[in-house]
Amino acid sequence: MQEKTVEWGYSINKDNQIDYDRADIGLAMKARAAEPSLDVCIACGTCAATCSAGQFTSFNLRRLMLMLSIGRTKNLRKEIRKCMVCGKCQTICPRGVNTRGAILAIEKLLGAEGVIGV
Amino acid sequence: MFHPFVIPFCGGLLFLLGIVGWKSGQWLVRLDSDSRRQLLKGILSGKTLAALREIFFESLLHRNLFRQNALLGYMHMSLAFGWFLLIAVGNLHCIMASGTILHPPYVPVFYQFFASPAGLQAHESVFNNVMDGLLLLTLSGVSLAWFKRMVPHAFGTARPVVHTTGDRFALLALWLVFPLRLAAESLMAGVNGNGGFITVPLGHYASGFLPVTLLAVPAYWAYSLVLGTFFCSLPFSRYLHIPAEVGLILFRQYSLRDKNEEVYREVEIDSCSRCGICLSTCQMAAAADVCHTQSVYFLRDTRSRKIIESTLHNCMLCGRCKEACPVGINTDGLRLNARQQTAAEPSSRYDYLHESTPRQAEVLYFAGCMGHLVPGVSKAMTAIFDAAGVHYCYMDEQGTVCCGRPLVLVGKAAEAKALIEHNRRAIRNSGAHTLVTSCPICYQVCASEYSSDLAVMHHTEFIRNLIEQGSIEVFPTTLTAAYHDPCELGRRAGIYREPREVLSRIAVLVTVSHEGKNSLCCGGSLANTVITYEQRRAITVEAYRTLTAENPDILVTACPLCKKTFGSSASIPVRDIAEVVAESIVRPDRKRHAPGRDAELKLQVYQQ
Repeated sequence: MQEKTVEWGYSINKDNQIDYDRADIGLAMKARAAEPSLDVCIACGTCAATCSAGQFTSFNLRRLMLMLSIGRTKNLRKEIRKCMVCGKCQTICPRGVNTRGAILAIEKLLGAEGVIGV
Repeated sequence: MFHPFVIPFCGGLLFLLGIVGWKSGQWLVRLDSDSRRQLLKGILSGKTLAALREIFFESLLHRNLFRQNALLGYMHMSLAFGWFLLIAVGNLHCIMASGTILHPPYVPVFYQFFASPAGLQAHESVFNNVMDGLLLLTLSGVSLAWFKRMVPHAFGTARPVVHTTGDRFALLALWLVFPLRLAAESLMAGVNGNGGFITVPLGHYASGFLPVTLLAVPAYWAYSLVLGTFFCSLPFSRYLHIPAEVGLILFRQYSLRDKNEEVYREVEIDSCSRCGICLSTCQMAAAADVCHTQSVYFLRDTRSRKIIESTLHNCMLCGRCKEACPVGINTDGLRLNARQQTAAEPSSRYDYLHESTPRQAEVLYFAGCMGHLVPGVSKAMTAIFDAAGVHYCYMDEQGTVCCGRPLVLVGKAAEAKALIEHNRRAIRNSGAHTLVTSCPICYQVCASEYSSDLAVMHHTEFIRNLIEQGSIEVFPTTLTAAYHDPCELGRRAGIYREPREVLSRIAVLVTVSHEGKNSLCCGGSLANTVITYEQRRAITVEAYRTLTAENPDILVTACPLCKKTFGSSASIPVRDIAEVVAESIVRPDRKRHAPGRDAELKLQVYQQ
C-alpha cells in the first residue's frame, strides 16, 4: 500500500500550457484537408451534448476536436473509437459539420500513421 | 460460298464467343456443387421456360424500359429485337434456300451477296421483303439513338451518362452496323436485282449514278469490319450486358443466388448497361448536382477495378435507383458490400458498455439514437402505450446503445456486431415478447437480427394493431396531411400500408407525386459520409417542395431522422405518425367534451 501524503486541501496540476512552436498540428491539418467542414466548427459542444456514446463514457467530440487542433493527440485513437457513428451529432450540428465523415477520416489517418497518439 | 470480306466478321464472332464461353465457364466452375446439380435439374423444368420468357421480355422486348418511357423502350426494342429477328429470319431464309441447316455462320449475314439471282423463288421475295422490313425496324432504332443524343429529355433521361472512350467506340460501331448493312445490300441489289422493297429501289436508284459493281464489295468489307469491331469491343464495353443479363436471368430463375452471392454480384456488375436511369432518378444529381457517384459509375468503376472511396461513399443508399433499374441490379446491396470489402481492419471499440437488464415487460420500446434526437416521438409512444394499457418498458430511456445500422452503412459491419450483441442481451434479459422501434433505421437491424427471439415491429405497425384491436380510439379531424415514406421503412422494409391506414383515420391524406416505392429521400441519410451540408440541404428543400405541393396542413412521416431533417426547413408542422396519433386519442375522461375537436385544435396550435 502506498504511503498517503498529507492532505493539503489543494493539489498541483500538471502544466497545461500550449507551446504552439512545439505543438504538432500535422494530424489536425490532415484531418481538415480530409474533411473541410471541420473549419467551420465553433466548438459549441452540441455534438457532445447529444452524443449517444457520451451517455456511457467520457467520449466528447468537442474536446477531441479542440485537443486535436492544439496537437494533443495522446488519447485520440483510444477515444475516437468509442464513437458509435450514430449520426446524432451531425444531424444536430448548427454549423453543418460533417462530423461522421470527420471521425471516419481521422480514424483512417490514425490507422495510416501507425504510431500517432497511442 | 466464301469471300475474304467475311474474315473480320468471323474473327470478331469467334473472339466474342470465346470470351463469353470463357466467362460463363468460369461462373459455372465457381458455382457451389449443390447449385450445379440444381441447375442441371432445373434445365428440364418449368424454370427454363420462365427464364426464356424473361429473356424474351426483358433482353429482347425491354419491357421494363417501356414502363419507364415508351420512346426509350421502343428504341431498345427495335435494336435488340430487330437485330435478333434479322439473325433468326436470316438463318431461316438460308436453311430454306440451301435445304440444309449446316451452313457457315456468315452466310445468313451476307446472304444477299451469296444468293444467286437465278434461283429466285416465290418464298425468296417474301423473305427479302421481311428482311428489309426488319432492317427498317433496326434503322428506326438507330435514328432514335441519334435523336436521343440531341433531345435526351424526350426519352425521360434527365442527365445523359458520360461514357468512357471504349463505350463510345463500341457505340459508334453499333450505330454503323445497320446503315452499312443497308448500303451494302442496296448496292448488291443494284448489281443483281436481288432484294426487298427498300434495297431494290435504293439499288436501282444508286446504279443510276454510282458504279455499284465496283462499290458493292468494299461496302460489304466495311459492313463486315464494323461487325467484327463491335464484337471485339463488346466484352470491354457496356455491351457486355447483352450476354451478362442472360446469365443474370438464369441465376435468378434457377434460384442460384443465395449460395453463390459472390458470383451473382459479378454477374450483376457485368449486367449494367449504363443506360443511366439510375442517374435520372437520383436526387443527388437532380437537386445537389452531384452526378459522378451514381450506381452507373459505381458499377462501371467496380467492373474496371478503379473504384475510389469518394465515389463509393457518396451515396444515400436510398434505394431509388434499385427500384428503377430495368435490369433489376441490387445497386445499394452491391455498394454496401463494396464498402465492407474496402473497410479498414475492424477494431474493438465498445468495451465501455456493460450488460444491462431492462425492467421485465411484455413489450420493449426502443427509441434509438434518432428517437432521442426528437423526444416528441418517444413521448408520444409512451402516451400511446399508457392509453392502450400496454405493459411496456422503455428500454433505452437512460441512454441508447446504437443499433449498429449506421456502422453497417459505412462498411463497419464487424464493429456493429458488438452493439448488436449488446442490445440482443438486453432484449433477452427483459423477457419481452414484442420489440417496438420508432426508428426505421433501427428497425432494419432489429428485424434481421432479433426476430428469432421475439416479434419486431415498427411503431406504425404496432399502432395500427392497437387501433384495430380497439385498444385505443382515435378521432378524425379535418386536417389534410401529406405522408412521407422513409426510405428504410418503405423501400427497405416494405411498410407502406400501415402508416396510411392509421393516418387516414385521423387526417385527410393528400396525394403526393412521389410516394410508395418512388418516394423521395429526405436528405438526412446516414449512409453518405461524403456529401456536404449544403448539398444535403438542397435535397431536403427539393423533397419538401415536392411533398407539400398540394399544400397540406401537416407533413407526416414515420422516421425521427426524416422528421428532424424536414423540420429544419419546413413552413408547416412536420410530425411523426406517433405524435399525430397520441394527440388524437380519445381519452375516457374527456369523452364528454368532443375530444376529436380537441385533438384538431391541438394539432393546429403547431401551425401558428
